[in-house]
Amino acid sequence: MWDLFIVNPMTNILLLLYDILGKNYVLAIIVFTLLIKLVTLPLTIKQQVGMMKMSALQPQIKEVQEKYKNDPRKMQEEMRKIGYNPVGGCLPMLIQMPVLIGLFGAINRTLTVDPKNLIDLGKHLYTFLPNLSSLVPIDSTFLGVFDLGRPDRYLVVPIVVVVTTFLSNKLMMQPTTDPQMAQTNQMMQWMTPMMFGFFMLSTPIGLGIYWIVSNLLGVAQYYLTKPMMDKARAQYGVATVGGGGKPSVAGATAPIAQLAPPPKSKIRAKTNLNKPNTDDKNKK
Amino acid sequence: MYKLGIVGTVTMLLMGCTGTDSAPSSFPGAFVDGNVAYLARGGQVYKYDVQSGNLLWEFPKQETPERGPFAGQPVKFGNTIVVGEGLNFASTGGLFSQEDHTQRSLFGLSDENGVEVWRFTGPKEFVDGVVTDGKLIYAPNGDGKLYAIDPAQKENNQPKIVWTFNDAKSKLWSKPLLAGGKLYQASMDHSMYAIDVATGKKIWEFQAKAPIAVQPTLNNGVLYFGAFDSKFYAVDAETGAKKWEQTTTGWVWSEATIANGLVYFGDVRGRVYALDIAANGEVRWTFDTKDAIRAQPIINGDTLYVVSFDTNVYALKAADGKTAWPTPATLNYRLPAKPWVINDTLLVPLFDSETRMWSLDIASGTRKIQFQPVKK
Repeated sequence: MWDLFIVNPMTNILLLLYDILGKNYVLAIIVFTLLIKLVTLPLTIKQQVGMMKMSALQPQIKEVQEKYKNDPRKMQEEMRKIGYNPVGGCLPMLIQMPVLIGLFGAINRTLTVDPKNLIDLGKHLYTFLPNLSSLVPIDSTFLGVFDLGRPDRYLVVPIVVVVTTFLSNKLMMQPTTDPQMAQTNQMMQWMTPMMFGFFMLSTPIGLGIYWIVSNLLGVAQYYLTKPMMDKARAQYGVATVGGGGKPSVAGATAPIAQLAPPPKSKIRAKTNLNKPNTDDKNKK
Repeated sequence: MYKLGIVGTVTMLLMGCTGTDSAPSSFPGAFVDGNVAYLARGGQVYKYDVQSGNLLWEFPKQETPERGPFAGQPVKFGNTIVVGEGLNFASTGGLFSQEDHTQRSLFGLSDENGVEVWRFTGPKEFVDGVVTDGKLIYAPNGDGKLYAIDPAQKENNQPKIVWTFNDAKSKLWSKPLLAGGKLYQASMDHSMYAIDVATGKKIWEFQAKAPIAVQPTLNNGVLYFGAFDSKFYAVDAETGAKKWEQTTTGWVWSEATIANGLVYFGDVRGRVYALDIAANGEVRWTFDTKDAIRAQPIINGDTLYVVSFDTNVYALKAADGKTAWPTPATLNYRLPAKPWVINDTLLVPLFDSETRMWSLDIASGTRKIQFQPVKK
């Protein structure tokens, strides 16, 4: 099922792009990454808005946690009332995981050209695209030095992955008033790039290029969607992010610690956009 | 903390994806000579007594990451056994497996004790073995060149290169066919070449629409072979002119076997074909296995034996493709190499198991002898 719905379509699209784009695999990865970014853009925006929403709810969450610390059922009920959804921010990210893992499979399948893997590729090419068979074995050389199907012995790609992941994370990280969350964010900012850099030591360069392009496109996407996000931030009363600079509220300059929690009604109003608020109905 | 968990999970999942398949990256090959069998597989080459399953010698004595995987069918050349190294498994991914052994060697091993007699190091891999006329060895390489080498003469401490065929534009991943003073060499550049065995010069070239990775089969002046364009071709061996072609469901990576006017082969989607030569390749029957067929099917009497990546050995009636055994013999591991018939036994090399080969009762498919990589 995994192969049928995720890896096989990706494999065939990647090879189709390789064919269309003058048999240049790096170009194929770049265009493929762009397509993936476009397809997952609504999810990404939803994820960012979800994170903003959770960030805005932090003071209320703390208040409820404090108030009902001895009554977990009531705490859960109240949390639900204020619109708290523990997986709201990360669900879209979870949905994107199969894309990443599927792409890994597709790149690995098309690039690691040894007889064993090639026979596997042959089984999964679509018969209605007969031209794809003529493309193998893929020309996996890049800049005359790198083999896209093998890990980078010169460590250039792992280093660029670390740098771009760090920059991208720094830009995207939501500021928070919660010290524990701030500490986690701080840790994440360093740990994620290191983990991916470590992973790239043993991964084909082709996947590293996907990751680098994905990070750069993420940064471009950030700037393109910034006006929309700033508007949402203003709506939730969340501090702005970006460039690792001082956090500030969109349209204001107050330090984050002095920010007043967003009015409850505003949050509820936003929640209502997603689903009918049964509480309001009950009140009526 | 959930974010950390997610990042950790993704990384671990991706790392899990890089976990290498335990099978060697190139396909094994066996060769039977009387009562002994030679097997090139993974990090070692083995010589076995076929009747007892006893290991007579292995080369090297212990597996090392630098050597192998030995691939393709071993060949006897005088008192030596010639085997080649395929693509190195360690260079194709996996955590910290960054060794890059692109230079691969051909070895001449003493038939008596498996000791290395000579070595010819090629620029790249020798995926499918070599052929010989008893004087020279014709060795196709992953660098796209076919080398004619003479182990009796030395040059730079290795067998002398007598001539090199340079015309192919991509990898040579199948051994050539030697017949009538010509070598017929398939290439991943989509061509089948006829080469003058004396000079190494091209005589003709036939182009398919995708790579060709099989040794052709010759019958009555016609070459039969399939290609990755999902076509099976019959080509005049003298001129290279196409006589007919037949469409298949998948890439053809199995050599063909010819008997009783039919040509038999399999494709990577698991289908076995019997084409009628007299009827310009009309399909007589097909039989579907559950996974890729890479090995050449073999005929013994009225029965066709087919091994598949679905781990099964099938015995089919050659005339109509009906099964000859009540059930296929399941060996639980992928079967990419040609089986051999020795009297009442079918010898089947395995790909990724601890057991190197199984011998089966040819009449029923029941297991007889297990060939292990250690001396009994």
